[in-house]
Amino acid sequence: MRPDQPLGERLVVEPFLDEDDLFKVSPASIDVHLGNRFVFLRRGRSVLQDPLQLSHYPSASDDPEAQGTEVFLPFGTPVFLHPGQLVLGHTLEWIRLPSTLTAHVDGRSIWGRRGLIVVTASAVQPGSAGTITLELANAGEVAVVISPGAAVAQLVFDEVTGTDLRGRRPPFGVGNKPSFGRYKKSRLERALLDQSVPNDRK
Amino acid sequence: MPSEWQMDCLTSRIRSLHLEIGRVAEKQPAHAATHRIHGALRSILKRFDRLLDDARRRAVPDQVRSVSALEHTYGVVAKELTRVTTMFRMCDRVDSPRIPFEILRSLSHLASIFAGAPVDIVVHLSTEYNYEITSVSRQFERYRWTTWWHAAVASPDGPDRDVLLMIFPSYEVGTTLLHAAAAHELGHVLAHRMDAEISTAVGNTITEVLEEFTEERREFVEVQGVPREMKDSSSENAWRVLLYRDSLITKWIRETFADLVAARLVGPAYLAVMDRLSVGQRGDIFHPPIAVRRRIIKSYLKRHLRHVFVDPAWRDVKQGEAPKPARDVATRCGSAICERALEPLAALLVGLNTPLADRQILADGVRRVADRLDNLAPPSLDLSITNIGEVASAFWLMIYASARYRVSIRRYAAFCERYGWQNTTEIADSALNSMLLNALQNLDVKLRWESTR
Repeated sequence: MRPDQPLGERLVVEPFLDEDDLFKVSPASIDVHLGNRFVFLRRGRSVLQDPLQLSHYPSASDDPEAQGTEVFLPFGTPVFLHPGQLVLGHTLEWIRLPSTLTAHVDGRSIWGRRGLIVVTASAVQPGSAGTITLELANAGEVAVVISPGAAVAQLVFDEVTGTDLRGRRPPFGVGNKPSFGRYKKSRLERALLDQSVPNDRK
Repeated sequence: MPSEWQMDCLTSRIRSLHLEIGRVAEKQPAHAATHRIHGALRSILKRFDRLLDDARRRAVPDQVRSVSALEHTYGVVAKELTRVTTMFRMCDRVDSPRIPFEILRSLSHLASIFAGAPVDIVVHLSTEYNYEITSVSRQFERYRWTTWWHAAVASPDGPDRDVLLMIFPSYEVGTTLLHAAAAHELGHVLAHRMDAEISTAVGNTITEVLEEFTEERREFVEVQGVPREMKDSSSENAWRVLLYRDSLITKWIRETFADLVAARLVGPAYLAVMDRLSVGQRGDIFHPPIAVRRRIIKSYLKRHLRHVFVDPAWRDVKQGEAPKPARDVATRCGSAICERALEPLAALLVGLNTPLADRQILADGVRRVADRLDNLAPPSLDLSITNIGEVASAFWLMIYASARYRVSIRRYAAFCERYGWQNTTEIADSALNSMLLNALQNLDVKLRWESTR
């Protein structure tokens, strides 16, 4: 993250303003804040989530607009997260990992103890760029109030070696808002799932 | 005299619009600037509802005076209702998630510099592929609703904040580079503030050109006739006759001034956007012909920002051509006025700070932005912002440098290749727009951060 390093080899976190406190409190992590865009999932919009497309039923597409309601909320606007509710948010910070770093997104314990689970799929791969989509769920008994600008999560870093990113696309979309991401079946998934589908489902 | 039924219709329209505005205001609780407009519009409707009600109660059949008073009130209220509807339409659906809210606070800072007072910006998406700007306080002034506006914006904490309603094209609103056109729209804010200076600066030019065209104008008007009002301008070419009226010349001059502001702030990046926005357009009663505007902007860059003009990265943008303008005398006369007004108008802009003015600072800035984009990092990285002036400078520089990066064919091809996007440049474009959007928002975030020190 040192400015004297070539940019391609640096960890990019933007905006990152509290450089004085960098890694002071937590030597291997930095806090990240909630961005302004949210996708509120709505039950009425889709019958089910079926990214493997195995069922007969119409399922939600990968497009956030089809899955729920996207909103932009200014900093400081209260967002009420009710028990059992899942909302997609994203980090305010733009993160770009060099080939030598991987990261994990963790919720901050101060929020976790109040019921907020911040992420369920936490790995951020070397070469990733963009804001990180956060899955926000309330596992508590009462509503939790969050807001754009709140430091709800942290990134924990690990060094990796031997990653060559030349000519490779960033692992996820280079975007600035919550994204569902497109489900791509692995070769093994295609072998196991597609060929096992009964004829009447094809 | 309107029948009871007609008056009931008007009353129920007023009341249902009042309810509708309230519903929309409740639906958009997070957008404070539109609340002020909605509040003012609801007060206006309430006032006219009461006015109509009073007139109806006072009206006595067969009494000429009271009947004519009711007729008058009915006419006035009906007209006001149409105006409220127009204003409401402009500030409805301003919460669409497609709107690039991220840049609006930074843009508000820039607008505040131009307006000389704090302003908020509200964006409305339009299917017409166009950018527009309207000052709500001035619109209210035109409608003589100033009292309600002041009541709506009155704040014990400071001066009244105007709201600028901006229209962005709906189907490419995610293309952040396109928002270079905002420089032109904010140019109108500056034009309004410098109205007297502009009139003085171009007064002689207008007189001279009109004199040169005296004979041709007379012949032209004899053939076309002079429409008495703007609404008569529907006939072909009739609007060109209107060009002789001061108001129209003023409109073209204001457009030219706004073009020069944009040219000064973002240089050929504005020319690139103009090409995109003006596809199929030739000019109209509010805008000089595109070919003339292009010519004026290029002349300005050549004379006042030569190091930008000769930058080979912009070669393709500069070479573009617009459809040839009409050859009638009115268009030629109006165009001549605008072209000759270039220098007097440019002289007014000398004090307008631009990141493009200093060759070395610009070169460093362009290099820094390109380095960030090359590495999938927002151009605001490592930038410190301590005041609104720095927000403005960084905002325009990032728009300029990102647009330059996009039009630099080799560099952009290398960028696409580096990340495996050779065959999917739309993904590369989307990444570029996302980085720029993030950076423009960060300017405001950094300013807020500094203000807490």
